[in-house]
Amino acid sequence: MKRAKSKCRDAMIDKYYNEDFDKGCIDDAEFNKELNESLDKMKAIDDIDCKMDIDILDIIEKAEVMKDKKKKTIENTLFIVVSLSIFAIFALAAVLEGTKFIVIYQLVIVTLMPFVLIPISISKVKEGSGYDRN
Amino acid sequence: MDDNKIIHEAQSGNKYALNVLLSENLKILKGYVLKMTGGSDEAQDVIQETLLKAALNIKKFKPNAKFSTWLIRISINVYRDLLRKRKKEVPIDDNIINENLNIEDDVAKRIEYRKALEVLKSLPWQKRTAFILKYYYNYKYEEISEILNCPVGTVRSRLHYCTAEIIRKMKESGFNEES
Repeated sequence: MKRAKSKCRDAMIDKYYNEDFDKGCIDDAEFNKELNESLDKMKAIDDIDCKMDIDILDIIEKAEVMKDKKKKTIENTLFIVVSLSIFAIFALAAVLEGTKFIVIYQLVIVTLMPFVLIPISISKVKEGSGYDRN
Repeated sequence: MDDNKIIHEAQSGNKYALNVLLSENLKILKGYVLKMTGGSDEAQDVIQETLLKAALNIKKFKPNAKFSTWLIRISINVYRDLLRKRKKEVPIDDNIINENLNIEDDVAKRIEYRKALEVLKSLPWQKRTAFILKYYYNYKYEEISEILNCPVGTVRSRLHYCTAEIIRKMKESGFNEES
């Protein structure tokens, strides 16, 4: 009995909120009155407002600074990880192949690097993203 | 400029568009947070943190939902984190009542205003959230379940609980008889 009553009250609450409700329940007029009166009292704070010192532009600027800081941290971490990895590979190669490997490697890099970097730089300049020519 | 265009511009890094977008939605966010906290200082902290998180994660916003709904979702998380840190809720701020009512407003109106805030604040915060979203912002049960990331049945039971509690507390304080 108590459970059925509670179920019906729940259905009446759903009905109040314009949601699907159990249509098989009997309307409890007294509860309905209480429901409407109590919730009507809650309307008092519907338009609640208060003066606040909120500077949205300042918040946006702060967010930009935080984003840049995070980006820099990631880039620095990545740079350190890559550098350490290259050094580790060199050290390993030197141990396994001897110091001759490093000399050959440096000669190859120094010879090939201009052929790689110059075309990249030219293409960047042509795209206009390399630097501002004006 | 329509909303979608402003959102797109803001996501592309246009600070002016982001400012417009946040300013346009500040009122709804403010209303929600004030009802949730009942205190102007606490509300200001939550709003500032919410706006900061929104500005940081603007690219993550998907325009299939309303921007204000997204802001409210962020503010719910911010408020939850704040409560975890503080471990208790702050009492209702009388400044809010003074700011919202004129000197001419009679004592009865002030008492009614305070009672509504007190009843709302006395509800557990998760249940209060569901009630505010339904009662003041008319969100559907399904939308609230998405915002709160919980099943529709939970939203329904939270609302039933809140409504029953509000009726009980209003009855206890004799507010229903006064009208």
